[in-house]
Amino acid sequence: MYIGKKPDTNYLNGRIKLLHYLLIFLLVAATNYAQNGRISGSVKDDITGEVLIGANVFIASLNIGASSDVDGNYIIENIPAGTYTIIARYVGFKQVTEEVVVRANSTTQLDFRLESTAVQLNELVVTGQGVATERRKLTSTVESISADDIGIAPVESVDQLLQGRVPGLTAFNSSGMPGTSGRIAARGLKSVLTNATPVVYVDNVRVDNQDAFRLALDTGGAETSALSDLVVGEIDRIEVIKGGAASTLFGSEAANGVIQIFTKKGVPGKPRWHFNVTSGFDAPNTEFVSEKYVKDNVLRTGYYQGYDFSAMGGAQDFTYHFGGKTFLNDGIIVDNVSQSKGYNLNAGFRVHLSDISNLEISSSYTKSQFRRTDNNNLPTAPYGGFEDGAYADQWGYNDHLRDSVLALMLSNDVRDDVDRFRTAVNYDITPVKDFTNKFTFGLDYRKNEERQFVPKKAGDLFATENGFLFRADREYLTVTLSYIGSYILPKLGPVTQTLAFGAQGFRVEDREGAAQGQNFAIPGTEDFDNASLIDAQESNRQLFSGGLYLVDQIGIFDKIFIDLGIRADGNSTFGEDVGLQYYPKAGIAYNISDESFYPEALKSYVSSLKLRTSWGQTGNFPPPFTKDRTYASNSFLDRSGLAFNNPGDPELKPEKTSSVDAGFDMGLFNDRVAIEFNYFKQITKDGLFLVPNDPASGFGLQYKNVGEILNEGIELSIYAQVLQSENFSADVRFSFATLENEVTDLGGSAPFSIASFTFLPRRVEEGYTLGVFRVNKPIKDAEGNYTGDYETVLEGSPLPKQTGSFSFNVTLFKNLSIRSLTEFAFGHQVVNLKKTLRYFNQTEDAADAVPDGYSFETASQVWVEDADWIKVREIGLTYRLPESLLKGITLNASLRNVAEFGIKTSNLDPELNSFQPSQANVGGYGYLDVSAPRQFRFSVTYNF
Amino acid sequence: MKSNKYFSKLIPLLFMFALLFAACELIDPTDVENPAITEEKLFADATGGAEPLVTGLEFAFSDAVVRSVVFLEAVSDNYDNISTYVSTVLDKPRNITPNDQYLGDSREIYFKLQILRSLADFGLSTVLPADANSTTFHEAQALFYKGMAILMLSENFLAFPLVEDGPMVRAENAVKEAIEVLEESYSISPSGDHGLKCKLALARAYRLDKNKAMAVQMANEVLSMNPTFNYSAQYDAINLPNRMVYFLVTRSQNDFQPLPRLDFLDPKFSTPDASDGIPCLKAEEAYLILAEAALSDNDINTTKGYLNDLIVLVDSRQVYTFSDNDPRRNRPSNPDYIVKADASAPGKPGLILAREDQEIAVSPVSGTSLTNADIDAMTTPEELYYALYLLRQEVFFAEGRRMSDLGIRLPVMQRQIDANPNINIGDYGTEIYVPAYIPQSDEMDQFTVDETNGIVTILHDMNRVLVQNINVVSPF
Repeated sequence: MYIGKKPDTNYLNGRIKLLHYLLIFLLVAATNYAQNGRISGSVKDDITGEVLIGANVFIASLNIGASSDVDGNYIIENIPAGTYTIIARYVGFKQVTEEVVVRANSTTQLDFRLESTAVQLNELVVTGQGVATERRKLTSTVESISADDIGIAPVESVDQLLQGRVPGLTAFNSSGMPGTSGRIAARGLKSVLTNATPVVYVDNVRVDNQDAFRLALDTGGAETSALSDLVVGEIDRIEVIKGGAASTLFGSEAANGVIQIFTKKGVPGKPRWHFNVTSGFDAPNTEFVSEKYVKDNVLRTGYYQGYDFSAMGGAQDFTYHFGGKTFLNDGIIVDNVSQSKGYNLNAGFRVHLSDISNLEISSSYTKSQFRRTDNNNLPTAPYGGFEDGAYADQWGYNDHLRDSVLALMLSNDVRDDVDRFRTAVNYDITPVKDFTNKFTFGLDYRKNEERQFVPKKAGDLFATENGFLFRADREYLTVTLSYIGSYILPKLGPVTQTLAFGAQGFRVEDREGAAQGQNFAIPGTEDFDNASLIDAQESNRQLFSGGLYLVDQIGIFDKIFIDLGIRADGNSTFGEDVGLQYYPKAGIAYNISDESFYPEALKSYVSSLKLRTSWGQTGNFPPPFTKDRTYASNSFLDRSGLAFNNPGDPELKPEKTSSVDAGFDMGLFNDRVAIEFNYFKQITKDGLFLVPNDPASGFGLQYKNVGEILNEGIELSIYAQVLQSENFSADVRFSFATLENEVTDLGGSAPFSIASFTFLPRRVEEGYTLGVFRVNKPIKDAEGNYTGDYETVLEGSPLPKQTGSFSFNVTLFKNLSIRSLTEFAFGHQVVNLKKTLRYFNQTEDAADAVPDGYSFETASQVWVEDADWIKVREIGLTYRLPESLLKGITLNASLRNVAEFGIKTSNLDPELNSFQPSQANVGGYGYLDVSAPRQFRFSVTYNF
Repeated sequence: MKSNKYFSKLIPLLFMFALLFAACELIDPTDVENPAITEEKLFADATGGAEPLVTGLEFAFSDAVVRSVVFLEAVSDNYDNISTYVSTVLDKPRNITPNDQYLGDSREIYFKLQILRSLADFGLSTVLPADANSTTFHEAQALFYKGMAILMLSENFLAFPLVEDGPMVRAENAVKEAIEVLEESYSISPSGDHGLKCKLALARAYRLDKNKAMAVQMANEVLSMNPTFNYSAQYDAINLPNRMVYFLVTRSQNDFQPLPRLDFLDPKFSTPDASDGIPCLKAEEAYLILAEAALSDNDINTTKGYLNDLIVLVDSRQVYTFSDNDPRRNRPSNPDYIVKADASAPGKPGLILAREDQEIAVSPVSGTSLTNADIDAMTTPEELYYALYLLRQEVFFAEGRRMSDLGIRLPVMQRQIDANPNINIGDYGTEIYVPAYIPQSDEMDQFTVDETNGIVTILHDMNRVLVQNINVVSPF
């Protein structure tokens, strides 16, 4: 909008300018016409006639455009008279190009009808490319999840959202305890020692993605995860890259892949409100529960209530979106001891400051509170403590006695409070044509306080006589500063070239403190002030990472695309003798179906075909301070003592993963079916292993770059719009991925175990999959009788070899839609530790598990079971009340964790693994975790 | 027009960058500091390093002692490890390899003893010389801990390196190094408790070195200075608890059950906060050495004299009453049972205590089932050797001494073999040594219960076995 004078592009006046425009918006000043015309119209779905909100309509040559508002109408102002090419695009639909004539002082009406398509060739993605790039030009795979997918999914957090939606990326439940998140891994485990979770960015700002809490209180496994408090309601779209060439631009942190989240900034139009009330209940999943007492007295159905609202709107130059949410979940353990609640407020807006600049700001505050119980087979765990058979009838317990033990267990008060604040500021400016710049600043601050109080009366069970208080605090702050620029070089014949370049830096401060207090003689107090024995610890880490990158995207005849790039990285975790690290990448994509020689006959079947291959390197930096030789100060009998700590290594550098990807994107039957196929081979060199020093030195383990790990497999994704008619549409999605993982080289260091139980460790051994089990197999003689001897072998894989999902979405009469998502994992094994514990406690089902003449250790193979599973994750139903009845009301019913099939383990949920070390979370140990409950949700949404 | 716009933009831009440059230090995000004690910081100010070093050695010593006790007690006939995640292989000594997960665990016996030795060396070579305020007493203490580390390694392992990347040193040679170091420690600071500790440690070391004369001399000197001396490794409820308590008292599974004829000594460590000390050097040892020396010279009366004095001392040791609610699943817990040390032995009453909801009395220092009357009634060397080794077993119960008495010697942990280029699998010291007279499998821990007649019969009486092989068992 103009206010009578030309916009001033002076940087230092930017802030004043912003005030000007805000004022203008608030006063709703009238626009001022110059000698120009306008184009306006609507954007609708060709088949159903539904309006498309937020569709992008633009004139490329003038670099101006508009978004369609909540009614599907758009208006582009101030166009100099002339003839132009105008394009309309919307995710999930084929873009439409038209020629339009604009006359001075008049409005040209131009309506768009877009055809839906399974093939998203014109979708713009940004992750890993340096600059927004059309899908058809990508040389590597980038998956995206759109707002529509997110809106209807009955999920509460990002890790749940990712389950089954990205081929090759697994997000398995770790435990049914609130606040815990799925174990996320993309394309297997590339590292033995570092967490496999992909790095997460929200609006270009790096955020905490882990459950790393070094001083956290030991409740037998479950940890609250930063991923679980990334609230879903504010998400507009997610882009996921799984490593490989696409992650190169992220440098030394992206070997596990990158998840980029973009939050909503609103859509022009009148304010549009959205209110939602959800209620439901969580029914415990008793499929895997062994003890009747647990089913009847420890687990129960918990009620859920949630409320959220959001509002969005704005004008062409200023759009906003804000919202909030609160929920309370009573949890599935009696006495509300696994209750959780949360609050969230978020806001985002986009301001069109001038013709050449935009400002986007988003912020979000989340507060979560969880209550937890002790977990797994701690004798104080209400679920695990009974499930392992320790309190079975044969030990002299009856329900009355069990009740009193349960009461003591439940008196253990464990609370987790998380406060999280995130903000991102993105400033775009295009000072001259074809030269874009984006400056980003943002931070993520997460504070986690854990508190456990064991009152005096429960002392015996908890091995403390007079009560016990534990508090641990973790403050995590990450600040990101980045610059991304691009320049479109002049076209040279058939060759187009875009250079993208950028600089990025982030800093992490991770400060933890913990204190324990014992001996509270007087009941009713809960402060350290009242403890007679107090102990405290502290653990602080910092790191800084900075990098530069340069990418050259070359297009030939607009059919062949080549991209070459390199990133240079420096990081404070690298050893003294290590300098900058370089990560190169190269890729080529060929849209063969665009060629003139592509047979027309074939085109009716295979409507689009793109071949692509790429190679790239990315890295994983070592944990902070592991490069330094350090000593420790041990507290002992009120004094301080010297001890050896970390051996140190001045040559410590990041792990480097090189990937080769090759595949194709295919569209069938007029783009109604989209097939994406990818083959990948990723080799991680300089793998960080903890290598032991000579014990005679007194020093223990040191991170060293010695290992080599291979991950290889295929990913296939098929998306088909099976039926598209005015009153009925159905689409199905199938994804499948395979994974071969092998530790190819130990670099001369001895094989070792990853955080294992001594009788059946998960091993890192050359030539075997990471986490292979070392088992003792009883030997039988010729007649099939046990000889009493055993052989020790390495077998089995905790990582699944085949994973995938299947989902469908059916819409009837425009108002009713039904959807479902099922996920599966095959080709892996799990150690049924629950059975081992029940064997020790000689429960009926496990007392005979070990053959005569053997022990639980010498016949350890009996504990290994096939962990295959098929799980129906979601079933949902959405009904939009007809406008004639009640305008703007939508009803939603959904069920999560619906059912399991094909389970081969005995009374064990094969997916869970809350035994999470800080190292690679390879899984494979099935312990005494509570399964994720079946979650029924009913919600009423009112949009107006 | 255009160039003017850029020019007018340029000056403010340059100015801004100049400001940024100047403010660089303030806004520099790359500054990162390791809060831990780096090598740089340790020697930046070396004064006052001596006290923390000695405290660190105390900590490392207590840690090594408790880790040794847990391991060695399970291997010996003292305790049977039933179902903890401690390696059950320990009950079958011949199956122990360097790869055994427990031996190879970096929190356990071998590594802890090497940490103690290495920290002492680091202190003596680097920290103490750098601290201008360090005294000879600090040096004497560091030497004492070094000596104890090497002594404990020599008692329990076949061979081991004494420096990083060094060659294997056989136990019979390493013990001489221990003696040298302890003698030096004594000569620097001969008085008070420190002097007594050194002397007692030397008595123990000389005995292992088969040096009867010196062992006897040291033992006599200790008894003349303090005939009731006891030095225990200390524990700290919060920072370094006595881990044995977890296996003996706060049992979550059916862990660590004592041999039935030793039931009355269990649990030696019983405070719930696990702050009990573990006796390491006590006057009882001097009596035992003197008795053994006298017996090797066939001096029956002197032997009996020492053994009687020992029993008087043991009976005078403090006793804790303890309320034991351990369910003792599948273990005999009827106080009316009599226990036979093996099928041919006479049954002895009173060795198994009544526990359920009972107060029991156990000594945290020493206990025994023998009385002065028992000793007085003995006449032959065999009977006295039997009494001697029974007393050694009972007096040193839960102190990690029995395995060495049985003659078993452990190999080094796998990590030692992997990390040291001078040591390879198959070298002396990389395989466990179990004397032929040790029974097969886990038979040392086995027993049968005849409920009708109330008799518990232990399969093997290891003390009788030791007496039968006394020529290789006793160092004198």
